[in-house]
Amino acid sequence: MTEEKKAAKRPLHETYYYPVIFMVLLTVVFISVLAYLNDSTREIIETAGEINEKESILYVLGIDYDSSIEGIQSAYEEGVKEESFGFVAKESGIEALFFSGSGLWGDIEGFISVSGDMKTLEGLTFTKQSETPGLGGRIEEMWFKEQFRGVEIDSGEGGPLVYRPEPGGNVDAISGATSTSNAVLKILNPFIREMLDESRGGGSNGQD
Amino acid sequence: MAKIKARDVWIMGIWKENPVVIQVLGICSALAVTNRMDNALIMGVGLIFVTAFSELTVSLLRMYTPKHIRMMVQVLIISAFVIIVDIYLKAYLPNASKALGPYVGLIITNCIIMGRCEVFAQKNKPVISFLDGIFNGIGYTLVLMIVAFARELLGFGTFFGIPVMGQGWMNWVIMIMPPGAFFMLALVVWGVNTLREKREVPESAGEVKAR
Repeated sequence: MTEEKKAAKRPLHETYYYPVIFMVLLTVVFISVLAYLNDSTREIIETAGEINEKESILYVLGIDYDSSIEGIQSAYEEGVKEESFGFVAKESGIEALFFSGSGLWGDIEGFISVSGDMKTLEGLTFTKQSETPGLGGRIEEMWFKEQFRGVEIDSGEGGPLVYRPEPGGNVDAISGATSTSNAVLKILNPFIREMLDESRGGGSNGQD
Repeated sequence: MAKIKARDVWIMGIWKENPVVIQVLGICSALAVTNRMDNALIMGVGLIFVTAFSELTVSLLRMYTPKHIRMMVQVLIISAFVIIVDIYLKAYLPNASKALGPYVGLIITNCIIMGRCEVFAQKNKPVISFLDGIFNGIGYTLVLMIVAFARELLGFGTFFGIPVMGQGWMNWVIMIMPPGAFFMLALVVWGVNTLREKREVPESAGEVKAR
């Protein structure tokens, strides 16, 4: 009896259940704050994502745009037609397709565009990548993306994209980021070949 | 323990007990993000924010936190602030968020935050703890900026992405790869410690011994 009484008299912060209550309360408080923040910013993040994607599409299609949000929206609505296979530039007929594959640390996603006659690459951009910043992450830099513009893709075996100084090389890899550079070609080359095969198979009906 | 003044806190955080150079904390991220100055800067600012607010919260709760679960409480607080930084960057600075990618989440693994929460905030008042977090964060950021400056200059020939080395410059690729980080960080640690010994041992030799 006396011991029980002693236990009852203990101050709250010395009881054995106090840590549990404390932790639960703290977790609830923090989770509520985070949930609120997450919820209140969701729309902003989603719109930012949409704008980002539209900007990427405009870039690979080679359409000029004003880099404000309204500028991107209006350029997109005026210049881009959405098709079942991807996106088409209304004026130039360039087609943009979505690709994805695995990079060094995580998935790489982006858009690649080809001319209407499927003879040259017209652009390349990445919408998602988690490569090493400063090394593989440099695939997002302009000099790397721009060198894919105008590359002829009818060259067939082993390619169509090959890094210099290999024979037949047509683009530069990133020094210090061999794995990421190779991963990019490993995603793109089969993708382009498949695209060419499909277009030949499908296109012959109409043209011959 | 003698009362710690705000003046001491900033000398401690930036020079006398610099988290990276003297305490050798936060090394993993100091090695990883220092190949470019902009990455190092955003990482540093993120860390300053998280350390300061985590220390403030830990200090506010220190009287109510049961001693044997304080680590759990600290981890919970730190992770909450890291998530806040992540959400903020995603919503309002999408470009910075994209550039930093996985590093924002990695702020949580930085030993400096937990170290300062445990060593300092657990025993001191909220305001001074907040300052301690800020100055330790600045100390960390400064070291990162020094290492990043040398690595970016030699490895890319640029300063914050602006080319400064001229046409004939050959990039030292080794500097932007992991070994370059080890070389540079070791040189900085060596340099600072040599400098410190020269300046401080004569006057505080007894204090060092007492420890």
